[in-house]
Amino acid sequence: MPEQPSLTASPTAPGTVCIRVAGSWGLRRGLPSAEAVVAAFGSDVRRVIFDAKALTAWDSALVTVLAKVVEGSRGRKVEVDQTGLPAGVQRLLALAEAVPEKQGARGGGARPPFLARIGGVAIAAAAEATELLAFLGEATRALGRLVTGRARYRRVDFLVEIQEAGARALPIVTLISFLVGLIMAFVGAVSLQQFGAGIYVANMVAVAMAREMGAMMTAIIMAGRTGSAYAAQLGTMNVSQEIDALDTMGIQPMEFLVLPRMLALSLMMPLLAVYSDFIGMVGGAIVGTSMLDLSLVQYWQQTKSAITVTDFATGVGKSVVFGVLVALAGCLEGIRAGKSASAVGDAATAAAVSAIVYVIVADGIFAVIFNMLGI
Amino acid sequence: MADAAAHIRVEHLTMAYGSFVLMRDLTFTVRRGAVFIIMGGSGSGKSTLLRHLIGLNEPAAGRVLYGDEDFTAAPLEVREHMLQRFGVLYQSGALFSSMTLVQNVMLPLGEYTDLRPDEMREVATLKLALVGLRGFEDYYPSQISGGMQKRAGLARAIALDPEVLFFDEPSAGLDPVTSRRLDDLILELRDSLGATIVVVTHELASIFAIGDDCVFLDPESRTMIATGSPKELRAHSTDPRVREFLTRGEDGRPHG
Repeated sequence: MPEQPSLTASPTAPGTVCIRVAGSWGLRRGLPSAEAVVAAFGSDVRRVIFDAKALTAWDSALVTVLAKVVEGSRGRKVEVDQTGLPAGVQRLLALAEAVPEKQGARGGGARPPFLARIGGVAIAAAAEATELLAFLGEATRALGRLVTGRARYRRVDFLVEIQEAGARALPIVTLISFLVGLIMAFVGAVSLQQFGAGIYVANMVAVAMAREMGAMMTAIIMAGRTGSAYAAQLGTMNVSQEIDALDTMGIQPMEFLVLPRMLALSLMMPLLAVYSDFIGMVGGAIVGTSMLDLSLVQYWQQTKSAITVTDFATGVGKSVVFGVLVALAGCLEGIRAGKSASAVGDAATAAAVSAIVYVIVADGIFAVIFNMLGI
Repeated sequence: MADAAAHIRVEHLTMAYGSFVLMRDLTFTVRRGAVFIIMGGSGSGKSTLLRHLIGLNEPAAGRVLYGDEDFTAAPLEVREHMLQRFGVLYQSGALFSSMTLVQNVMLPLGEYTDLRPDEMREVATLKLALVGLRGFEDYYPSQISGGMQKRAGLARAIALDPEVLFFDEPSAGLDPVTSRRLDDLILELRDSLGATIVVVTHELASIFAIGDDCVFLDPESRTMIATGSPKELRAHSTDPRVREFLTRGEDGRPHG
């Protein structure tokens, strides 16, 4: 059993204290306190010497404690004579003091007062809004250059993004839309049956899917699936300086990276929305035929009479806008992400959250506009 | 050869990725307390050899011994215990970007010691002071320069007072002066902590400044073609590949 580490101070000559270190010191054995030893110095102490004759083993634990003793002694203007210590300890102590603390390096830890924090949050929010607007403006200009045929991006990227945001998204869109249609029909059937109006489940599901749910559900799926993927891709490219490389080649990241993604998503989103409308209606039909004893033909006729092309058009129009919003949110969060692994994760999360918020807010605005126009 | 002084022994090590053999039949010894250099041209498998020494890759054949313990054959728990005595400085520091410098250094202390949090912080602060980062305890890795990140990585590597310190390209991406200071720091830590140092590098200045011993990997013949002190090799090696490497290909050419 190795001897316990110990640290004791005893006066030897007037004004001189000898600190005796003994035993076996190790990080795995804990640290004796240095404060008590330094605090016990009398006011007449001018010099500290060390005695390490009984020291059997040491590692950083000893150096850590001695560094505090030395620092404490210096603070009280006490001279420190380290010659009694093992050579290795002396060297490490010297090394620890070799580079002086950089002036102004510390002080980042202090918490600013409450009002300052509120102000800081408000300023950050304003800056974020400006950033979003600037990004939107740049995206619009990039779109302008695309229309005039001057935008520089790779066709292959565009096609890959179309595949990624289109065909690859079909399975999840199918599943979610089917279930949404099913649930809506189920909830509607329970109420409508009481009035003997079960057949109107078809109207409800058709109108809700075509006008609202198709576009909205696809947008939310794509925000979680594709928007956050954009943020992660662009964020990683930012970390590995790929975006800087594009900039220095004179290629605008906005055209090269954001434009193909935005186009792909705003082209694929309406297609997915229409697909989602039909799958939702299929889900409704299953409830209609199994729960309400309607025949498939009846359900189909009722659905056909319930919706107009206008209903589809509103849904499709909205989904184009949702596509742009989801792509913008993803790309913006990715491009402005910090340069660390956790920052990329944060960007992906922020992209999904802000895309969903934008989509729902936009949907609300659409509802008001359509209402005023009487569509 | 005094076997008592041997700290790391590599015996007939063959490194392979799948069926692709990178290096075969490597046999060398690292003396306790020495600075051992693994050198060779780009793509010769220097870093892969380092990964084999610390157990990140498994040898296709052969074994690695630390003292008398067989690292390659050791069961997982024994190996974990052995790994606690290693410190590794990765090429770019490999600091955890979501933690401050002091938290990075405290992580191994928290895993393997019973120190209280305030004691751990004291030890971590000392380690950062040793590498010249006093006052930067609460900075995040992204807020400091590349050279400082590397030094902070070194502080984390020496957190548990390792017996063996591995360095993967310590001077990559550093300016000559910073790189020189890092070399001095490596020697200083070797002398004061008494650790054995294994360095992967192709920086000639570093090799001659700190290397006591070395192994030279040749990507053409897929094996080691020289061992010994770098300065000796430069002066006396008869192998043209070794001479060319150690003299930057300027050997025998007219200067000026």
